[in-house]
Amino acid sequence: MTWRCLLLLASLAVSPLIQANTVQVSQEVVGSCEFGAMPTIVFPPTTVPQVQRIVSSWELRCTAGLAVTAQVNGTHGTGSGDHVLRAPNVPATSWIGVRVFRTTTDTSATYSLVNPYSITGTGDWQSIPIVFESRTTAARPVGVYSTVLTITLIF
Amino acid sequence: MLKRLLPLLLLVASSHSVAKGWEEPTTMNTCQIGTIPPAVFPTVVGGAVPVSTVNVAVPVMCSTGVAWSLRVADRGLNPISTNNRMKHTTANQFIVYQVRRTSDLVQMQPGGNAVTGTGNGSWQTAGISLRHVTGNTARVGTYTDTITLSLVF
Repeated sequence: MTWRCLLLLASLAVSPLIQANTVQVSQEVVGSCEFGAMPTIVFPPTTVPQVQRIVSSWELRCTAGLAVTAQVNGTHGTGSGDHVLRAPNVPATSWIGVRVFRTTTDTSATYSLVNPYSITGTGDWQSIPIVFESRTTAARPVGVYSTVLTITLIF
Repeated sequence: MLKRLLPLLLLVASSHSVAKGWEEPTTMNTCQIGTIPPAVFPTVVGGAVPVSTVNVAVPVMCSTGVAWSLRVADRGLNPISTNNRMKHTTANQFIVYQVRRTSDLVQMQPGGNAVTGTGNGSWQTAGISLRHVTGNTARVGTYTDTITLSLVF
Protein backbone atom coordinates (compact mmCIF):
# COMPACT_ATOMS: atom_id res chain seq x y z
CA MET A 1 0.00 0.00 0.00
CA THR A 2 2.68 2.40 1.01
CA TRP A 3 4.77 1.49 -2.02
CA ARG A 4 1.86 2.05 -4.35
CA CYS A 5 1.22 5.46 -2.86
CA LEU A 6 4.83 6.43 -3.33
CA LEU A 7 4.70 5.38 -6.95
CA LEU A 8 1.63 7.49 -7.48
CA LEU A 9 3.30 10.51 -5.97
CA ALA A 10 6.33 10.05 -8.16
CA SER A 11 4.11 9.81 -11.20
CA LEU A 12 2.25 12.97 -10.35
CA ALA A 13 5.46 14.82 -9.85
CA VAL A 14 6.78 14.22 -13.37
CA SER A 15 3.58 14.51 -15.40
CA PRO A 16 4.00 17.28 -17.98
CA LEU A 17 1.45 20.02 -18.29
CA ILE A 18 -0.14 20.69 -21.63
CA GLN A 19 -1.81 23.70 -23.16
CA ALA A 20 -3.58 23.42 -26.47
CA ASN A 21 -4.73 25.84 -29.12
CA THR A 22 -5.80 25.65 -32.73
CA VAL A 23 -4.62 27.11 -36.00
CA GLN A 24 -7.14 27.97 -38.71
CA VAL A 25 -5.76 27.16 -42.14
CA SER A 26 -7.32 28.33 -45.39
CA GLN A 27 -6.76 29.02 -49.05
CA GLU A 28 -8.90 30.62 -51.71
CA VAL A 29 -8.92 29.22 -55.21
CA VAL A 30 -10.51 31.62 -57.67
CA GLY A 31 -11.56 31.76 -61.30
CA SER A 32 -14.63 32.16 -63.46
CA CYS A 33 -15.88 31.44 -66.95
CA GLU A 34 -18.61 32.66 -69.24
CA PHE A 35 -20.07 31.19 -72.38
CA GLY A 36 -20.18 33.06 -75.64
CA ALA A 37 -21.88 32.07 -78.86
CA MET A 38 -23.04 28.47 -79.07
CA PRO A 39 -23.60 26.69 -82.39
CA THR A 40 -26.73 25.23 -83.89
CA ILE A 41 -25.92 22.14 -85.88
CA VAL A 42 -28.10 21.01 -88.75
CA PHE A 43 -27.19 17.87 -90.63
CA PRO A 44 -28.21 17.80 -94.32
CA PRO A 45 -31.47 16.02 -95.04
CA THR A 46 -31.01 12.44 -96.12
CA THR A 47 -33.23 9.57 -97.18
CA VAL A 48 -30.95 6.98 -95.63
CA PRO A 49 -29.12 7.82 -92.42
CA GLN A 50 -25.38 7.88 -92.85
CA VAL A 51 -22.34 8.83 -90.84
CA GLN A 52 -21.77 12.56 -91.19
CA ARG A 53 -19.52 14.94 -89.34
CA ILE A 54 -19.90 18.68 -88.89
CA VAL A 55 -17.02 20.77 -87.61
CA SER A 56 -18.03 23.67 -85.42
CA SER A 57 -16.92 25.64 -82.38
CA TRP A 58 -18.21 27.34 -79.28
CA GLU A 59 -16.91 30.31 -77.35
CA LEU A 60 -15.61 30.54 -73.85
CA ARG A 61 -13.85 33.11 -71.74
CA CYS A 62 -12.18 32.03 -68.50
CA THR A 63 -9.78 33.55 -66.02
CA ALA A 64 -6.22 33.34 -67.28
CA GLY A 65 -4.60 30.13 -66.10
CA LEU A 66 -7.82 28.57 -64.87
CA ALA A 67 -8.00 24.84 -65.56
CA VAL A 68 -11.40 23.91 -66.92
CA THR A 69 -12.86 20.65 -68.10
CA ALA A 70 -15.82 20.57 -70.42
CA GLN A 71 -18.17 17.69 -70.97
CA VAL A 72 -21.29 17.31 -73.05
CA ASN A 73 -24.52 15.72 -71.94
CA GLY A 74 -27.65 15.15 -73.97
CA THR A 75 -31.17 15.80 -72.77
CA HIS A 76 -32.28 12.42 -74.08
CA GLY A 77 -29.60 10.27 -72.54
CA THR A 78 -27.26 7.87 -74.23
CA GLY A 79 -27.88 5.10 -76.71
CA SER A 80 -25.68 2.20 -77.67
CA GLY A 81 -22.39 3.07 -76.06
CA ASP A 82 -21.88 5.59 -73.33
CA HIS A 83 -20.79 8.29 -75.72
CA VAL A 84 -23.67 8.15 -78.14
CA LEU A 85 -26.22 10.84 -77.36
CA ARG A 86 -29.79 10.32 -78.49
CA ALA A 87 -31.51 12.67 -80.92
CA PRO A 88 -35.15 11.48 -81.10
CA ASN A 89 -37.80 12.39 -83.61
CA VAL A 90 -41.11 13.98 -82.63
CA PRO A 91 -43.06 12.22 -81.30
CA ALA A 92 -40.21 10.12 -80.01
CA THR A 93 -40.55 6.79 -81.76
CA SER A 94 -36.96 6.47 -82.87
CA TRP A 95 -33.64 8.21 -82.53
CA ILE A 96 -30.37 8.89 -84.24
CA GLY A 97 -27.10 8.57 -82.35
CA VAL A 98 -24.80 11.55 -82.12
CA ARG A 99 -21.20 11.56 -80.98
CA VAL A 100 -19.13 14.58 -80.02
CA PHE A 101 -15.42 14.96 -80.73
CA ARG A 102 -12.78 17.57 -80.23
CA THR A 103 -11.23 17.22 -83.69
CA THR A 104 -12.02 15.52 -86.94
CA THR A 105 -9.19 13.08 -86.33
CA ASP A 106 -10.56 11.83 -83.01
CA THR A 107 -11.55 8.22 -83.17
CA SER A 108 -13.15 7.91 -79.75
CA ALA A 109 -15.81 10.21 -78.41
CA THR A 110 -14.54 13.15 -76.43
CA TYR A 111 -16.25 15.76 -74.27
CA SER A 112 -17.56 12.74 -72.41
CA LEU A 113 -17.57 11.93 -68.73
CA VAL A 114 -14.62 9.62 -69.16
CA ASN A 115 -12.76 11.88 -71.54
CA PRO A 116 -13.64 15.49 -70.82
CA TYR A 117 -12.11 18.33 -72.80
CA SER A 118 -9.37 20.09 -70.82
CA ILE A 119 -9.06 23.83 -71.42
CA THR A 120 -6.86 26.45 -69.81
CA GLY A 121 -8.32 29.93 -69.56
CA THR A 122 -6.53 32.82 -71.20
CA GLY A 123 -8.59 35.72 -69.94
CA ASP A 124 -9.78 36.30 -73.51
CA TRP A 125 -12.48 34.72 -75.61
CA GLN A 126 -11.46 31.34 -76.93
CA SER A 127 -13.01 29.46 -79.78
CA ILE A 128 -13.20 25.82 -78.74
CA PRO A 129 -13.47 23.27 -81.50
CA ILE A 130 -16.23 20.70 -81.44
CA VAL A 131 -17.19 18.08 -83.99
CA PHE A 132 -20.61 16.47 -84.18
CA GLU A 133 -21.08 13.09 -85.76
CA SER A 134 -24.40 11.64 -86.77
CA ARG A 135 -23.64 7.98 -86.67
CA THR A 136 -26.83 5.98 -87.21
CA THR A 137 -26.87 4.18 -90.54
CA ALA A 138 -29.93 1.98 -90.13
CA ALA A 139 -33.22 3.03 -91.68
CA ARG A 140 -35.29 5.47 -89.67
CA PRO A 141 -38.87 6.80 -89.95
CA VAL A 142 -39.23 10.02 -91.83
CA GLY A 143 -39.15 13.00 -89.51
CA VAL A 144 -37.03 15.56 -87.78
CA TYR A 145 -34.58 14.30 -85.20
CA SER A 146 -33.20 16.74 -82.70
CA THR A 147 -31.72 17.15 -79.28
CA VAL A 148 -30.22 19.80 -77.07
CA LEU A 149 -26.71 19.12 -75.87
CA THR A 150 -25.41 20.81 -72.76
CA ILE A 151 -21.77 21.71 -72.19
CA THR A 152 -20.90 21.60 -68.52
CA LEU A 153 -17.77 23.34 -67.29
CA ILE A 154 -15.99 22.08 -64.21
CA PHE A 155 -13.44 24.35 -62.58
CA MET B 1 -3.16 -0.83 15.51
CA LEU B 2 -1.58 2.54 15.93
CA LYS B 3 1.76 1.01 15.08
CA ARG B 4 0.30 -0.34 11.85
CA LEU B 5 -1.28 2.95 10.93
CA LEU B 6 1.65 5.12 11.89
CA PRO B 7 3.63 4.61 8.70
CA LEU B 8 0.57 5.40 6.62
CA LEU B 9 -0.20 8.51 8.66
CA LEU B 10 3.37 9.62 8.30
CA LEU B 11 3.15 9.03 4.58
CA VAL B 12 -0.05 11.04 4.31
CA ALA B 13 1.46 13.84 6.33
CA SER B 14 4.60 13.64 4.27
CA SER B 15 2.80 13.56 0.94
CA HIS B 16 0.67 16.47 2.01
CA SER B 17 3.72 18.49 2.83
CA VAL B 18 5.28 17.41 -0.45
CA ALA B 19 2.17 18.44 -2.27
CA LYS B 20 2.22 21.82 -0.62
CA GLY B 21 5.88 22.06 -1.43
CA TRP B 22 5.07 21.44 -5.15
CA GLU B 23 2.20 23.83 -5.32
CA GLU B 24 4.20 26.99 -5.37
CA PRO B 25 6.64 26.00 -8.14
CA THR B 26 3.74 24.55 -10.14
CA THR B 27 1.78 27.75 -10.04
CA MET B 28 4.86 29.73 -10.94
CA ASN B 29 6.03 27.43 -13.71
CA THR B 30 3.22 28.08 -16.10
CA CYS B 31 3.03 28.36 -19.85
CA GLN B 32 0.38 29.54 -22.21
CA ILE B 33 -0.23 29.77 -25.93
CA GLY B 34 -1.40 33.14 -27.11
CA THR B 35 -3.81 33.88 -29.92
CA ILE B 36 -2.54 32.22 -33.06
CA PRO B 37 -3.06 34.18 -36.26
CA PRO B 38 -4.83 32.28 -39.06
CA ALA B 39 -2.61 30.66 -41.64
CA VAL B 40 -3.75 31.84 -45.04
CA PHE B 41 -2.16 30.46 -48.16
CA PRO B 42 -1.94 32.80 -51.15
CA THR B 43 -5.01 32.99 -53.37
CA VAL B 44 -4.49 31.06 -56.60
CA VAL B 45 -6.34 30.46 -59.83
CA GLY B 46 -8.04 27.08 -60.13
CA GLY B 47 -5.93 24.29 -61.55
CA ALA B 48 -2.43 23.29 -60.53
CA VAL B 49 -1.66 24.74 -57.11
CA PRO B 50 1.84 26.18 -56.91
CA VAL B 51 3.75 25.08 -53.84
CA SER B 52 3.90 27.83 -51.26
CA THR B 53 4.76 28.16 -47.61
CA VAL B 54 2.97 30.08 -44.88
CA ASN B 55 4.91 30.86 -41.72
CA VAL B 56 3.02 31.07 -38.47
CA ALA B 57 4.48 32.63 -35.34
CA VAL B 58 2.83 30.90 -32.40
CA PRO B 59 3.00 33.11 -29.28
CA VAL B 60 4.26 31.21 -26.25
CA MET B 61 4.87 32.55 -22.76
CA CYS B 62 6.45 30.48 -20.01
CA SER B 63 7.91 31.19 -16.64
CA THR B 64 11.61 31.81 -16.63
CA GLY B 65 13.61 28.64 -16.95
CA VAL B 66 10.69 26.40 -17.90
CA ALA B 67 11.49 24.17 -20.84
CA TRP B 68 8.64 23.98 -23.36
CA SER B 69 7.96 22.19 -26.57
CA LEU B 70 5.31 22.98 -29.11
CA ARG B 71 3.92 19.96 -30.96
CA VAL B 72 1.14 19.17 -33.38
CA ALA B 73 -1.57 17.20 -31.62
CA ASP B 74 -3.17 15.97 -34.84
CA ARG B 75 -2.99 16.15 -38.61
CA GLY B 76 -5.97 18.46 -38.84
CA LEU B 77 -9.53 17.60 -39.72
CA ASN B 78 -8.83 15.81 -43.02
CA PRO B 79 -5.64 13.80 -42.58
CA ILE B 80 -4.29 11.55 -45.27
CA SER B 81 -1.31 9.32 -44.70
CA THR B 82 1.26 11.54 -42.96
CA ASN B 83 -0.12 14.79 -44.39
CA ASN B 84 -2.79 17.36 -43.67
CA ARG B 85 -5.47 18.47 -46.08
CA MET B 86 -7.63 21.54 -46.46
CA LYS B 87 -11.12 20.65 -47.62
CA HIS B 88 -13.33 22.51 -50.07
CA THR B 89 -16.23 24.03 -48.17
CA THR B 90 -18.84 22.21 -50.25
CA ALA B 91 -17.18 19.70 -52.58
CA ASN B 92 -15.12 16.65 -51.72
CA GLN B 93 -11.95 18.33 -52.95
CA PHE B 94 -8.71 18.75 -51.02
CA ILE B 95 -5.40 20.57 -50.99
CA VAL B 96 -2.63 18.59 -49.29
CA TYR B 97 -0.02 20.27 -47.10
CA GLN B 98 2.38 19.56 -44.28
CA VAL B 99 3.22 21.23 -40.99
CA ARG B 100 6.92 21.88 -40.62
CA ARG B 101 9.28 23.46 -38.13
CA THR B 102 10.21 26.88 -39.49
CA SER B 103 13.80 26.65 -38.28
CA ASP B 104 14.76 23.66 -40.40
CA LEU B 105 11.57 22.78 -42.33
CA VAL B 106 11.48 19.32 -40.78
CA GLN B 107 7.96 17.95 -40.86
CA MET B 108 6.12 17.93 -37.56
CA GLN B 109 3.81 15.05 -36.81
CA PRO B 110 1.91 13.96 -33.71
CA GLY B 111 4.41 12.47 -31.29
CA GLY B 112 7.28 13.58 -33.49
CA ASN B 113 9.42 16.66 -33.92
CA ALA B 114 8.65 19.71 -31.85
CA VAL B 115 9.64 23.34 -31.61
CA THR B 116 11.39 23.73 -28.28
CA GLY B 117 12.47 26.60 -26.09
CA THR B 118 12.99 27.81 -22.57
CA GLY B 119 10.71 30.35 -20.97
CA ASN B 120 11.92 33.82 -20.02
CA GLY B 121 8.74 35.23 -18.53
CA SER B 122 7.92 37.13 -21.70
CA TRP B 123 6.16 36.29 -24.95
CA GLN B 124 8.24 34.24 -27.30
CA THR B 125 7.37 32.80 -30.69
CA ALA B 126 7.46 29.21 -31.87
CA GLY B 127 7.76 29.12 -35.61
CA ILE B 128 5.81 26.60 -37.63
CA SER B 129 5.42 26.55 -41.38
CA LEU B 130 2.66 25.12 -43.52
CA ARG B 131 3.76 23.98 -46.93
CA HIS B 132 1.92 22.43 -49.85
CA VAL B 133 3.04 19.09 -51.12
CA THR B 134 3.69 19.03 -54.84
CA GLY B 135 1.06 17.97 -57.32
CA ASN B 136 -2.06 19.61 -55.90
CA THR B 137 -4.78 20.59 -58.31
CA ALA B 138 -7.79 22.45 -57.02
CA ARG B 139 -11.15 23.60 -58.22
CA VAL B 140 -12.42 27.08 -57.47
CA GLY B 141 -13.60 27.58 -53.90
CA THR B 142 -12.52 28.02 -50.31
CA TYR B 143 -10.46 25.33 -48.64
CA THR B 144 -10.05 25.15 -44.86
CA ASP B 145 -8.59 23.05 -42.09
CA THR B 146 -7.98 23.30 -38.35
CA ILE B 147 -4.85 22.04 -36.65
CA THR B 148 -4.49 21.56 -32.91
CA LEU B 149 -1.16 22.45 -31.30
CA SER B 150 -0.01 21.32 -27.87
CA LEU B 151 2.39 23.19 -25.67
CA VAL B 152 4.06 20.71 -23.33
CA PHE B 153 6.06 21.94 -20.35
